Amino acid sequence: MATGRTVGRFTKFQIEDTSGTLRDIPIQSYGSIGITYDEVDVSSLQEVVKGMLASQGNVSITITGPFDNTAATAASSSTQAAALSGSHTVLEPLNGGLTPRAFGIYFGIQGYWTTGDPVFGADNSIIVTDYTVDPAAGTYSCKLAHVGGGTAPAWGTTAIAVV
Amino acid sequence: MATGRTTLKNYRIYVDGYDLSGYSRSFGPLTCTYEEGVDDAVTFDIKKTWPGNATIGMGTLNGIFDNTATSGIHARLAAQSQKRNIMIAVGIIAPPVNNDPCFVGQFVQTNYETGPSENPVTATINFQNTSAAAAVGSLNYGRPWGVLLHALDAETGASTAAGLDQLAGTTKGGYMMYHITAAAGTGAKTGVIKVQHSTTTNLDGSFSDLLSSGTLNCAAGLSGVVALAKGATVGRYIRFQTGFTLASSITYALAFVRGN
Repeated sequence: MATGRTVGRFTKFQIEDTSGTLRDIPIQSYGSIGITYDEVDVSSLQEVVKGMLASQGNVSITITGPFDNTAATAASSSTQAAALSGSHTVLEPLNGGLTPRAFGIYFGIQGYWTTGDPVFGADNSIIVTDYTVDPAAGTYSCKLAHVGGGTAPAWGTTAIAVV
Repeated sequence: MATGRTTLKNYRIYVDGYDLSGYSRSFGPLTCTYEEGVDDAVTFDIKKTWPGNATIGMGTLNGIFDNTATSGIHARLAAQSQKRNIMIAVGIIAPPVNNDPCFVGQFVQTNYETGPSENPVTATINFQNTSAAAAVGSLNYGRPWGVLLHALDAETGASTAAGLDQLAGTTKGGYMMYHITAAAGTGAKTGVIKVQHSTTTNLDGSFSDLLSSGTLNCAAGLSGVVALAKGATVGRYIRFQTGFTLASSITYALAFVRGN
């Protein structure tokens, strides 16, 4: 575990495939990672400063990356570089499914992710609702949503596991 | 089958039994998007999502205007408002081979526009998205991605080859699409194109018919879709098969999509 700032090349994305096994997949961009809460304005005209309350949270993640049909391989673990499976191999069969899947977005700090570094995700948490391929760009985009009945994702410092 | 990443030059597009790759500059995006229903009961700290119906689309075909008789893009697509059988085969690093990824669908062509001021003159064709609920033709499947069981090539005899190991069997049906671009033989050049499967081994003797085109009068410009019932069993191993009666050679591409 290190502390401080980092760069994108030390991030990695893992998702549980249809066989129930975690896979690293290649990523070009993650969009925004985290939970965004609806803001409810509960202020009154008589108050100089507006007052807000946080209502329900939203989790929606759009990832992009190279289209790749490489065979699935075992995901990396702590201190290891991502062991990439094919994005098409893993994501396309998940599209439209109702089974909550584990996922983790790992933020290695100035090196490959090590237990203790930040990770956002959860087991039994998300589904894939969109899978789009751009042939001209050689890329995919994929939307992940928190599924009904699933576990809410959260920030942590231990690896996400399929239990 | 190859694996890895690829570029547009290794894609091929087949429309209604014709290979339009040589007239196409780009196509896509190739989409399969599920409607997101929001589950936001007041007791939830974080909103949840349920996937609804799928919208499947192949985007826009940007081509080069060409009036080659019969097989040119103008001859094939100038007539609009037609439902098209479309197969986009994804070659990995090289042109498509058997068992490469394949995007398959039936889409209604909504326009055909040329660009006379461009050099060379262009042709732009848009296709309507096909939602699962529309049940266009027999394709009531929310999945457009399958495998190219048979890359575009001529067959002159029955196959005894092993098939593709898809690692697990399923019980969610599936469908096949074929495009015949040429045929030789006598009379009506009759033949049949099939998908076969095996639940046990990947050996020639264990395969049985899964889907069949039925008897076809094989000729260029013939395409079709045959679907299984949604709950049908599909074995772990699949392969193409060709039958010949009056046809002696059939040049075709065949894709199979396993239901999900």
